[in-house]
Amino acid sequence: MKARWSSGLLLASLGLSAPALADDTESLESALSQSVVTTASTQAESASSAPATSSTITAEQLRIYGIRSIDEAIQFLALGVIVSDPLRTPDLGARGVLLPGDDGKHFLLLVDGHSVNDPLYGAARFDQGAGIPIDVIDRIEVIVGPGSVLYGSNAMLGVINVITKLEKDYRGGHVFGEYEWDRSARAGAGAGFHFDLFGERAEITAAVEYFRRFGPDLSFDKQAPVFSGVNGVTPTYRRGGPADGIWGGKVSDAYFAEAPMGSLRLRVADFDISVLASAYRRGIPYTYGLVDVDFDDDQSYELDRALRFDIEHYAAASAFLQLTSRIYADGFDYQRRVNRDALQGCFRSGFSTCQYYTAGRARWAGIEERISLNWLKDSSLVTLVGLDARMRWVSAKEDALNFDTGEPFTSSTGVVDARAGLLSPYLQQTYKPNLWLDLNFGARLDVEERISPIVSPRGALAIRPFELTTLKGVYSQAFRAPTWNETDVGTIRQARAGSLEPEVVRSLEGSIEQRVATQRLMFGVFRTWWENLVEPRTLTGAERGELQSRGELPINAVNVVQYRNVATLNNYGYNASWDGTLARGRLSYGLNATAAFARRESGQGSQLLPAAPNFFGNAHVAYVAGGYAPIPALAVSYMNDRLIDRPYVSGFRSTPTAPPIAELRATLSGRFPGLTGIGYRLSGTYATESHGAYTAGNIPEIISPTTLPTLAPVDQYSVFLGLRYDFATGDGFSEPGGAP
Amino acid sequence: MTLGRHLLLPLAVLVFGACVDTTPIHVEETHKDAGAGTSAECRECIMGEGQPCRSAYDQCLALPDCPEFHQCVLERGCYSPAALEDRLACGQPCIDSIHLTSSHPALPAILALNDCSQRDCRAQCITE
Repeated sequence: MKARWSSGLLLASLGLSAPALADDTESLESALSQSVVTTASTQAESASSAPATSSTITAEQLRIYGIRSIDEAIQFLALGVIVSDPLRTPDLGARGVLLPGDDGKHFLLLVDGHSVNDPLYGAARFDQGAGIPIDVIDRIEVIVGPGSVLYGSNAMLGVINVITKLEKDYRGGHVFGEYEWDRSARAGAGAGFHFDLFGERAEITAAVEYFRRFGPDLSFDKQAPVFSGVNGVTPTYRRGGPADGIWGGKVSDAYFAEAPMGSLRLRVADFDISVLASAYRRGIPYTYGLVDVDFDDDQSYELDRALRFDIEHYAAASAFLQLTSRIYADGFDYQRRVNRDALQGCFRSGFSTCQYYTAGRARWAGIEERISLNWLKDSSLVTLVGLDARMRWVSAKEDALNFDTGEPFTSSTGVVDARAGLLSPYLQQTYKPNLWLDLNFGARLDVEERISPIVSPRGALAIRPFELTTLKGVYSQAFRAPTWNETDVGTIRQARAGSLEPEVVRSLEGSIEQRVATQRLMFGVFRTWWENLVEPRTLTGAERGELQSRGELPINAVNVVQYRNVATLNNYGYNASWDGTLARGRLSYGLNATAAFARRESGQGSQLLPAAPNFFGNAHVAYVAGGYAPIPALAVSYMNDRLIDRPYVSGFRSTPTAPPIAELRATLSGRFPGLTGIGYRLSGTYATESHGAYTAGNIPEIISPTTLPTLAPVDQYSVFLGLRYDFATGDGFSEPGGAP
Repeated sequence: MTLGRHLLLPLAVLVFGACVDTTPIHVEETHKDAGAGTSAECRECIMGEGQPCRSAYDQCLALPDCPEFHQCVLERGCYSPAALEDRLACGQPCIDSIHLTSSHPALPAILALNDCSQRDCRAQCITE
C-alpha cells in the first residue's frame, strides 16, 4: 500500500528521464511503487537513494491498519524501531538499543520539520501525548540511525518526521469518533478549505481531537516490603488505606489519560504557518525508578502542555537559488503530582498525605535560514547551507505540599532558572554525476554555552550497478546535549550533576536494495558506537555522605541518584525488509525485521541492555477490493525475550527476563453503501503475553534474595469501533479503498 | 510579511504566557528549639532501666559519636517535635558536631532511638 507520488517527482529524484522508463514497464512500475522521503536530506528523494535507512507510513496505512497514534504506527509498520510500553508513555528504541524510561530523549521528533523535543527534559512523546491529531497526518517518515547532521541534538537513534496534510488531501469537513471497550474513547473534527486572502490563494487544514483513556483495570502482584517503616510504623502504600505494608493489587483508578490537541496549518502565497496546541495528563499506575507513588491513586499524575508555532517562507529566486526561512517558537511545560503517605514519603506526621509537585517549563524560539544552490539547475549538484539560531529558557522546581491543604511545608528544591543560546550552521552537498551514483556529504556544527562545540558529520553514497539494484553506504554521527534536568536539578532523590559531556553516537551502515516490479527487498548491516551515555547512577554511601557533609544533600536523603556520563554502548546487527503489492495493487504487504547485538560497557563491566530485544520486527497485509467492499488488514509486531528494565539490582535470585511477545491487530474498514461520506473501522488487538519487561514497585525496599520482580501487565485483548463522516469534500476526494 | 506580523504577536504571547508557574517557594522554617531541654519523663522512658527504649539506648552507647549526639539532642529538646523534619532542624547542630551522614556508623542507632521515642515514648516525649 505504497503512496503513489507524482511520477515527475519520482523520476526527478531518481535522476531518470521519462522516455527512458516509458519503454520499461517494470522500471516504471517499480519507480511508482517507491516511497519518497524528505527528512533524510530535506529534499524529496526515493527511499533507496536517501542517505539513511528509512520507512514511510502513509495516512492510508494509518487508517486501514487501525492505527491511532504514532507509536502504534511505528510498532506495526516501521522498519528498525521498537516500541515498548511501560503504561505511562512508550519507550522507543532502534537497532537493539532501547533505554527504559527514556521519555523520547534519543529520538528527535519533528512535525513538518519542526523540532519537538524540549531542552529541559529532552522529551518527546509518541503516543497521544505527541499532540498531533492523527486525522491530519499525511505520512510519518521514520529515519533510523544518527541524524544530527541536519537536525542537531537528540537525533541519536533516529528522526521521526510527522508530515501533516495539505488542503487538497483534507478538503471538506470531517467528524470522527472511536470507542475502545472499557479502555478509551477518541473524538475529533477537522476541515480543509481554501479561500482568497489579500488576493492570494490561502489554504487551511485544521483539526481538533480529544482522547481519553479510562482503563483497563490492571493487576499487580501484592508485595510486602522488607522496609520496616519510618518510626517503626508499618507503611501504608495507598492513600487513605490501611497501614498493612502491602503494595499491589488491582489498579482501577490510576491508569488513565486525557489528551486534547489541535492543529492549524495555513498556507498562503509562499508562507506555511502552523500552530499546534496540546495537553496530555496521565496517571501513574505504579511506582518506578525515582517515582514513588501511592498505589492506585487517581490524584497522582503527570501533565504536559505544549504550544508550538512555526512560520516558513519559501522563495525560489531562480532555478539556481532557493531560500527557505523559518521562524519558530515553542512553549512546553511539565507537571507531576505524586502523592505519598506523609510519614513514609515525606517524614511528616502532622497530616496524612504529602504531595511532591514537580514543575518544569521550557521555552525556545529561533530562526532558521536555508539556502539551496542548484548549481547545474537540474538537481544533480546541490549545495544546502543553513543556519539555525535558537534561544532557550528553562525553569523548574519541586515543592513538597500538604495534600489536603495544598500548602507547602518546605522551601522548593530542584530549582532551575537558566537560559542559553544555540547557534548551528550546517552544510550539505549532494551530487548525482550520473544515473548510477548519488553522493551526499554534510556536517553540522552546534555551538552552545553549556557544552563544547560539537560537529556532526555524515557521508553517504548510493550506487545503482543495475537499474533496480541499489547499494548504499552511510557514515553518520549524532549527539545529545545533556538536559538541564540532568545537569542542574538537585532534590532529596537526585544530586545535582553539574557539567556533563554530550552523548555521541557514530554509525556505519551498508545496505542492498533490490526492486522487482512492485516488490522491494532490502538488507542492511550496521555498526554503532555510543560514548558518554548519561544515566542516573545510584550514589554509594560514601559518595552520599560526602555530599551531605558539604551540605549539598539533606541528611535524610537515602536512595540518591546523580546523572553521570557512565557508559558506552556498542551494537551491530542487520535490518531486512520486504514490501510490495500484488493483484494490481489490491493486495499489499510488508515485513520488517531487525536483529542486533548490543552491549553496555561501564564500571560494572560489559552487560546486555535492559528491556532491549535482540530481535524484533513486524509484518502487515491488507486487501483493498475497491468500491464498498470492507478492507481487511492484519498487522503483527514481535519482539523476542529480553532482560527486564532493572535486571542488575542485587537481590534477584537470577537475572530475570521477559518472554517473547507478539501483538496482532486485525482491522476491518470501509464505507457504508448508501450512506454517503460515512465510514467505519473495527479493530481488535491481541497480545500473546500478559506481562512485559517493566518492573513495578519500589525495588530497593521490596526485594529480598528470593524475590522475583513484579512485572507491569500488558493489556492482552482490546477492541475498538470507529465511525467517521466526511462531507463537502468536493470533486476528486476519495477515501482510501476507492469508495466514493 | 504583514500576515506574519499579525499572527506572530498573539501566538508568541500564547506560547510564552500560558506556562506553569515555576517560581520557587520559600517556607520560613518554624522548627522550634525546645531550649528547656527534655522532660524527665521522656529521659526516663528512653534511658531508664527496663524502659521501652533502653535497648536502643544501649545500642547507641556502644557506637562512636552516638552518646555525644544523644546528649546533644536531649539538651536541645529535639525529641519533643513529632515531625522528623522538625527534629532534624532542631538537631542540626548535633548533626554538624559529629559530622553525621547517612553512611555514619552511628546512624542506625540514632534512627532506632528516634523511632522508639516516636513510637513507645510518644506520650512522654512529644509535646508538639
